[in-house]
Amino acid sequence: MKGRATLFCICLAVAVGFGLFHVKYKVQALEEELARLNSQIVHEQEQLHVLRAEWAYLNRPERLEDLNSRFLGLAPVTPAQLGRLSDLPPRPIEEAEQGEGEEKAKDLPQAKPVIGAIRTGAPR
Amino acid sequence: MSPLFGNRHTRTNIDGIAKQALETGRTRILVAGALFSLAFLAIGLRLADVTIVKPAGEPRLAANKRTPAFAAGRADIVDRNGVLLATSLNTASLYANPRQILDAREAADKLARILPGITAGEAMSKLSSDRSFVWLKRHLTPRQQYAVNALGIPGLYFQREERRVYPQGKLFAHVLGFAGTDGTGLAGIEKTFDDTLRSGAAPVRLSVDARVQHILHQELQAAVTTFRADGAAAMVMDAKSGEIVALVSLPDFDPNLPNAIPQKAAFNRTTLGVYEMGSTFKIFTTAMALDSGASKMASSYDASKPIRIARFVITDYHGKNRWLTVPEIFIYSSNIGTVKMALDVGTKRQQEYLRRLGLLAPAAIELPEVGSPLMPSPWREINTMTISFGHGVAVTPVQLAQATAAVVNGGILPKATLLKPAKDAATPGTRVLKPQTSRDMRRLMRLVVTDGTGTKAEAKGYFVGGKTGTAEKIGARGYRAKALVSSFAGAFPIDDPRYVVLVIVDEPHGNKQSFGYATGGWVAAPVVKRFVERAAPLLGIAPRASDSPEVARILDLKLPVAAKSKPKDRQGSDQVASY
Repeated sequence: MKGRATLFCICLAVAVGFGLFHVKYKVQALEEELARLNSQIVHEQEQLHVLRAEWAYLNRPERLEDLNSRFLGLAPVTPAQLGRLSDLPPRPIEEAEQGEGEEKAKDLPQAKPVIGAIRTGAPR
Repeated sequence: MSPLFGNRHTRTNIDGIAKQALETGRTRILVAGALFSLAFLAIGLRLADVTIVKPAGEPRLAANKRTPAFAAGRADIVDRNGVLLATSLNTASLYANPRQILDAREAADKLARILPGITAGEAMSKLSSDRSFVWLKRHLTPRQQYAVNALGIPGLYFQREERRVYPQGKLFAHVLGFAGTDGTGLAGIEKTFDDTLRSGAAPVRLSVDARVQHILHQELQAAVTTFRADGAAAMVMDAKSGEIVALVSLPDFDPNLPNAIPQKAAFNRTTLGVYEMGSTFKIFTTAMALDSGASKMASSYDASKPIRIARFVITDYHGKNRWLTVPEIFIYSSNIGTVKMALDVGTKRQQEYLRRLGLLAPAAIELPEVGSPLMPSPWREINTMTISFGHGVAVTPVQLAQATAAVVNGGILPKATLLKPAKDAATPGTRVLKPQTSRDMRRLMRLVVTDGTGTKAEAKGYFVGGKTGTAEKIGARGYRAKALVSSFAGAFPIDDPRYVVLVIVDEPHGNKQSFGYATGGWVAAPVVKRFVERAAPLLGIAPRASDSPEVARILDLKLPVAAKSKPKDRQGSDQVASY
């Protein structure tokens, strides 16, 4: 009886000791991982910071204008290109009744995005 | 039996003593046993407490105390839309320990091949010196740093340094100023908010808009080039809140190279430079005459003869030689008529109005470069007369823009600011003119553009209103007729002004296209037109038809008294008096 209890206690102590060291090493590994990730986060943040500066540099109005003149040839918006919905002529009723008007109305969405562009272009 | 209970042989001899000792020992054992039991009990209780009673109270995850954060050093500066205007980057600087260099000749040759700005000879002399520390190149790009590392030369080291970078280059030179190599703000916003920026907190958000700034910069630069001007200043201000949306002073500089800034380029003409504004000042003379009740819109003045006072003669450039109404005086920029209106207002009230419009005290803008206005002392009647058409008081462009905003926005003087205010912050401002005066002035300023000296500022559909000005600069011997300051102060859309635009060109020279003229109407007004046409869509202002009834109703576009004969050359008629 006494011997069994002693054996049980020894086994328990070994098992607990083993478990303890296992957890300890695991924690140590995790801590290392954490430190590595933290330094990686800082590194990535720094990279982001640099990229943000580069983004601003590459988006200089001056450069965009140069690129536009070389590749796109877009011109500044003139007042004639801007309109309001109320400026559109009323929809012809006869055509709508004939059923073809439906499709023609769909061909006329130009006014909408232009006005939207003015709104979103406003400084916030 | 344990020896603790004594020896039987000695029991009879020392019976009493042994018994006593035995008793003492027992007591001690009891006490010690009790103490140990208590200790084990306490440990047992604590064990039960920790493991059984409150395991839920223990955190499942350890708190991460080392929250990583990248310290950027000096904080960023962004525009009103969040576009990056200034930031700090960590860079690597290359230094060497010549004592550790094995082959100086080879190392110098290799470095010179990959690093621009370093010659092999220069590097050779540095690397073969007897010191243990020499700088080779400051602020390498990441690519250069990689290339140097790839060389694998022992004795080369990198030092991490911080560098202030302005991605927009020259564009915001006079707004931002610049920071020195040690990271101290030396001019502009960088200097004003040096402490805030240094603490590395949230970015400083300015009221400027990079897109609008670019358009203004480009158009102003074009005018400076076309008219071979000495310099120029321009700004766009929110008419109600006083927020400065764009601010340009030419010539400018690249803040990325703080050691190579010419003195002339470092001078901020918009806030530090003071100018006699010339006829642009007639906005304020007319406004004060109407506001104080000294003149009515229908009042008329005799502008047929030049005014002679002391040794001066005040004339009109294109004299109409007849009586003129207040609107006619304003749109044809008659000096004689304006002087007579100012005399009706009186010296005292003139001073009072100019002071209220913020023209006699330095502007309270967030820049260290702020100029103090120049004014006569004592302020005599002759000064009242010359000041009425913009000679005798010199103000900074930012003061002029602020006062113009007050005239057009309904009579409330805003505080010029470069910071974007919080979303629903009340805009500070003091009432300086009656709303009716502002309404009348807007009509007059619109007439200048439709029928007067400012026709070249007309941006179709956006209803620009304003006033041209051409002042002669003071030289060593009085005013110099050939050195002009040509300006245009205006607002758009003038029926309910959103933005004030001010353009001042310093010493422009007439050319063929302008028929030799270098006046405000020929030099500054076209800049405003081109700017408004390009920037208005970005600023969220929709164009309207020129016969739009809503505008016509507000502006009442008819001259109260029609001019008998229209002048052949309107553009030249804003010339100031020569005396």
